[in-house]
Amino acid sequence: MSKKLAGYGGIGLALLVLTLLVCLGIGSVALPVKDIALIVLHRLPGVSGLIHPTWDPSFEQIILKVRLPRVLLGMLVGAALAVAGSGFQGVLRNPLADPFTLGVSSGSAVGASMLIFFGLQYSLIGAWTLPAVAFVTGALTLWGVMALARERGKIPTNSLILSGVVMQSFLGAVVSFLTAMSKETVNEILYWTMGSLSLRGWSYTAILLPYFLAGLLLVWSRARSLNLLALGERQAAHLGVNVEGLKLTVLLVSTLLTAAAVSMAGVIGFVGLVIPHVVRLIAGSDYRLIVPLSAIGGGIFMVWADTIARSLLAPTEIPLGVVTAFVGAPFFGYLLYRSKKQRKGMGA
Amino acid sequence: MIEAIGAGKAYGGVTALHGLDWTVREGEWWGIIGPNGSGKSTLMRLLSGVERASSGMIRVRGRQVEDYGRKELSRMMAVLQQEGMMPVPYRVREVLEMGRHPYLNWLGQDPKENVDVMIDGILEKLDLLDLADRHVDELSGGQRQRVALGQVMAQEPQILLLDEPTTFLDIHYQQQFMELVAEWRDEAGITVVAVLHDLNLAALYCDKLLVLRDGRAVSMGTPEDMLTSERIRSVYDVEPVIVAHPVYGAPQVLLSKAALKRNEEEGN
Repeated sequence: MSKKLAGYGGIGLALLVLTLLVCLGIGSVALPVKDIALIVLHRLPGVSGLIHPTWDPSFEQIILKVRLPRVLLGMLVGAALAVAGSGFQGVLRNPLADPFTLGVSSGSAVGASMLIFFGLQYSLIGAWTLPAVAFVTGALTLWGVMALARERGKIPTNSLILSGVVMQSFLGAVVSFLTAMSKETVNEILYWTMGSLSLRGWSYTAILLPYFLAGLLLVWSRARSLNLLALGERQAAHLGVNVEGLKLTVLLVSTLLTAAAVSMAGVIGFVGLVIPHVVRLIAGSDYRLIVPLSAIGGGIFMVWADTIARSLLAPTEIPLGVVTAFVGAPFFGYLLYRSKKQRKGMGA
Repeated sequence: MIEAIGAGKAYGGVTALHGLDWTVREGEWWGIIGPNGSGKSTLMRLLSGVERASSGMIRVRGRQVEDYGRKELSRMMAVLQQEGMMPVPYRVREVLEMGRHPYLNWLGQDPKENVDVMIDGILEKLDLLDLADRHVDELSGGQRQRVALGQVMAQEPQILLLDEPTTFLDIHYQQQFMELVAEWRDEAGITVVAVLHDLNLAALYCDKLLVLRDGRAVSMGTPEDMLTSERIRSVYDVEPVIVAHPVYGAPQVLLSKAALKRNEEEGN
């Protein structure tokens, strides 16, 4: 297990670093990878003395002020959504579960669209008003869904999925209503719900990082129990798993990760669904691998998706949620096709 | 080892099990028999602590079953469910290792040394060595049932609960399964409580039988005392013929063909 983790994890991290370096160079001004590496290394404590600045100072401005915070935020948002997705799939034992199954994104979207509709997005605590409100309404939605599904102190998985679907359609209708009623020509609500990473500064990244790491460790620490849960809830209980506690913890942590990601970057679909599946197809069904590898994979995927979103039709930005669905869906289809062919190839 | 003291369970307004008083001593093999809906599975769920008794209590080693932590209870008691092992995408060896879960500390280490040797021994005993690296979802029902048994063996319990373990097996695997459990009991001295549909297997392998009907204990005792034609007739509503096993002398239940027809004529 740990050998496998080191192998896949090592390759994944190498790909992640490569992705960051390449994607930092793509944009209105193309920057060479070597300069990017030196600029970033120069900023690391302990290394800075060894490197002498040989690059154009404006490059450094672009990298450190504009591109790096955006790319890192994208990485964290993608990683958070993918870890949340693996958590949801593990607990709900349903391959179609994703971070939005329980209506969290719709809850966040309702909070955000209310603010935008009434023009209050900078009212309480400045630029932080919208993310804060979206986070709170997202978390409240989970509470509502759980209250709806709860039955004699337990939360049956099927009721949970159903009440999530109900909540999602209701709140989705609220968002659609507000979008339709909004009189602006450039519809800010629609734009927000389709996801974007533009114009977020370092502060977003700085807040999300510790939050994400805590969430990742919590879900990862439950990985062994999630493996046992695949045998069935009762069988897991017979093997010493506190099933209700496990479900509650993982759902709660995954939801809070989702709410944080959505409140900062809008609703970005497909990452939380596809990445854990891709990881599963490559590395197998062990959650001790799926959780950390999903974090790496989600980060890589999101950084590329955002690079495409901001550069393909520059200066126009494509909504990020559109890109992830465009890229993610066919790729997922290909993987399904391949695993189907492999199974056929094995004969019996 | 296990005591039911007035243990009952109601779902909504429906009582599935009425106050049951019953004692299982260490090392005994009990069979629980009775028709569908007689409360057998309910009793198993109470014994394994996944559900709470709504009246009375279940005590395991003198302590109420709810008072044990899930891990603590799982070190003492293993359960093999009717549906056996789900077709999960894990390898056979990995699934057996999952049986060690109740013993692992928070770092995932097993205090027992040479767990691999123990797992190998179980694989060999259950004829699973060739399948050790296969995924469980590629195996047949009978093979999966052996994997399920391997997992509870790795769990090293003192009490084994079996819920209709032979339902989906053909007679070869039924007999093999019961023999493996019997052998395990002889070696490790475990206590076994098994819900069984097959009365003849129950008579051959169990020391004692508990007969349930409509959520009540009709009777309990040795197979010879329990499997009489009157009792089988009144509990199952069939016309039985009881014969002694020609080799072991244990009672065996045969059915007569006319039973259903005569019941219809009587207007039942």
